[in-house]
Amino acid sequence: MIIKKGIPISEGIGIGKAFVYQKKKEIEKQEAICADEKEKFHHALESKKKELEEELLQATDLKKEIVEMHMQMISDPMFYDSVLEILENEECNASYAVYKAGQNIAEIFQNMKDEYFKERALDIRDISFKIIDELEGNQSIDDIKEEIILFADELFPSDALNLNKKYVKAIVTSKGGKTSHTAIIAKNEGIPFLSFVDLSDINPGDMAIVSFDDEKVIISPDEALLNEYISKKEEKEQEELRLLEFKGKESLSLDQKPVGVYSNISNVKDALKAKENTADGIGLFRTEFIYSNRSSAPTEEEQFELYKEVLQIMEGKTVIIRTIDIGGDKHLDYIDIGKEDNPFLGMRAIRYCLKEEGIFRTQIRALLRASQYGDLKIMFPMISSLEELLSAKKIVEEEKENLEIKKPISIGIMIEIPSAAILSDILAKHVDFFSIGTNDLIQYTLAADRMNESVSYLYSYYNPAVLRLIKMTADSAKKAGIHLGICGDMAGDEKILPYLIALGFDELSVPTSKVLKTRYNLSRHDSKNEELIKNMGNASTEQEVLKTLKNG
Amino acid sequence: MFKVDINSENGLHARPAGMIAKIAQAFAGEVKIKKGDKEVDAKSIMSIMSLGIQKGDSIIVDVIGMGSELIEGKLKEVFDSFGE
Repeated sequence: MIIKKGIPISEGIGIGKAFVYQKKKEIEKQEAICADEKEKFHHALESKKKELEEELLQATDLKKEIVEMHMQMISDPMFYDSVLEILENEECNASYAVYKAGQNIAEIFQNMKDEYFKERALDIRDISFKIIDELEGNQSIDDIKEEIILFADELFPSDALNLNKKYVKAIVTSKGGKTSHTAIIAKNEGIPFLSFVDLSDINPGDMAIVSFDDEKVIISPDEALLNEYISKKEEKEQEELRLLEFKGKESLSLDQKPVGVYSNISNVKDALKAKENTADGIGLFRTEFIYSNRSSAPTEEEQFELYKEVLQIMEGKTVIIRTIDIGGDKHLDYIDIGKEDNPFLGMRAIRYCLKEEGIFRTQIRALLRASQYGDLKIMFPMISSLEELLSAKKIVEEEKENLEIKKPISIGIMIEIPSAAILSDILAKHVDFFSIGTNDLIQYTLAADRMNESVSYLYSYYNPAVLRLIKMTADSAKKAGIHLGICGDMAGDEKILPYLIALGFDELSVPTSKVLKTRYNLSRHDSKNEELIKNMGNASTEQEVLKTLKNG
Repeated sequence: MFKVDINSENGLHARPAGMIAKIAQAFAGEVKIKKGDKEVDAKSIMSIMSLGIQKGDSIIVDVIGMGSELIEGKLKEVFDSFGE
């Protein structure tokens, strides 16, 4: 039995066999008999083709394009001839020939001037490694067809999109922080997730337990321990059943003040889940995912259809759509931001949109057109000054005029940069709502990289400086009489909830899986609590904040 | 044989290249694409893309074999739909 500590990211207990997912970088050359290796290669090629064909049948639009391209590349004559030539000339193993053929072709692309073609090198490497995995019998995420615990150094957003909750009972990684895209997806799907775990000595097939509450991973547990966790897991499932009573109930505090329990979503699937869990609205629709995993930006029409669909799913309830937030840790193949030393302090979100207006205007037009189908509100991310806000609003006004749309549109901003919180009294006069993005606000206030393990001890929303910025923002919103929401991780934290509702938050936007829990927690606390506000103002350390919250 | 001027912003990117390769693969004869002095087999998406065809480039498409007119027509449709 081995016990490993980790940083808890997504709640729950997961029990299953270890599945170790590795991304290889290089293949070694071995001498081999050409005819045998040819046979192996053909065999691997055929079974991969069949697999892709099956995948294509189930793929949604987003994935379809990638699968189709992979299918074409895999049966490409240039690639095929090149592999056979290497096999014959070098009398080597098939894996190496595939690797080298992929490398050679990728290099041609890599050396091209045009960024678009340059980046296709990655697709070619990707597909050659898919064949190599097939040849070597390596496990890949798409192959998972039984209940497992997924172990990986790091998962990329495209990997994360392929996660199937039915099979993946928990995720354990050695890298990747609390707010990585994988974390967001895991939380939304309700898959337990622990990060910063040392992955040595973990073998495929080992029995593993992942526990969020205990912040640990147990490999090859003894029977007593295994049974203990199985019953804990059952208990949790029981609690979930109790929460079902809150389905469809009005979201009210103990003293009967309505506070909207909204949901954060990234796609239509999430929207359906939000609806199923009876969220009072969508507090954050992250649109970046519409742009990822594809070779060019989505058209106005595509976006319009998607936003319209989400609005129709929500049946008149508020849907706050955040304009694209790229840069930082989110990259797109077809957008070149250039290499930055500090991407989180660089061309991100609204900054990029205001510089390269094309992509932004397309999105704004799609949003304005879709706004006719429900209660759509536009939210700008990463606003740091009034000038930025006014420039972005001007673009909305211009497009509104171009489209001859008369219906007024609500515009709000994320408060996630300390300067915006400090300036919130002024910003409040120019918007219809605020939504506090706690994840970035913490990172920027404490100058602590949210992905950096060594400073993760700083990264906390119980930090008194962060809480003061939140209070400052809340006070400005109340004074200006605008809607006040919060959409970061803090919104779903039950310890801080009494303070948030005391500050007068109108809306808490949480992952779809936390809607009912949050509604239940809300029902247990009063919205009027001057005492708590006063005591929180006096708390000078994280410890004191936690103590104050505990004493109510 | 026909000439195409590429006008679309992204050049001849993966989608149209893929569609061209698909049409070429279904054809028993030969389909060649020529840019400058480089000529490639259009049955291979990688070969087509390895030409790095960008906005402003002119290419020659050559279809050889039985039923070449039909294939030429289909290929022209692809080029048209991508704004070339």
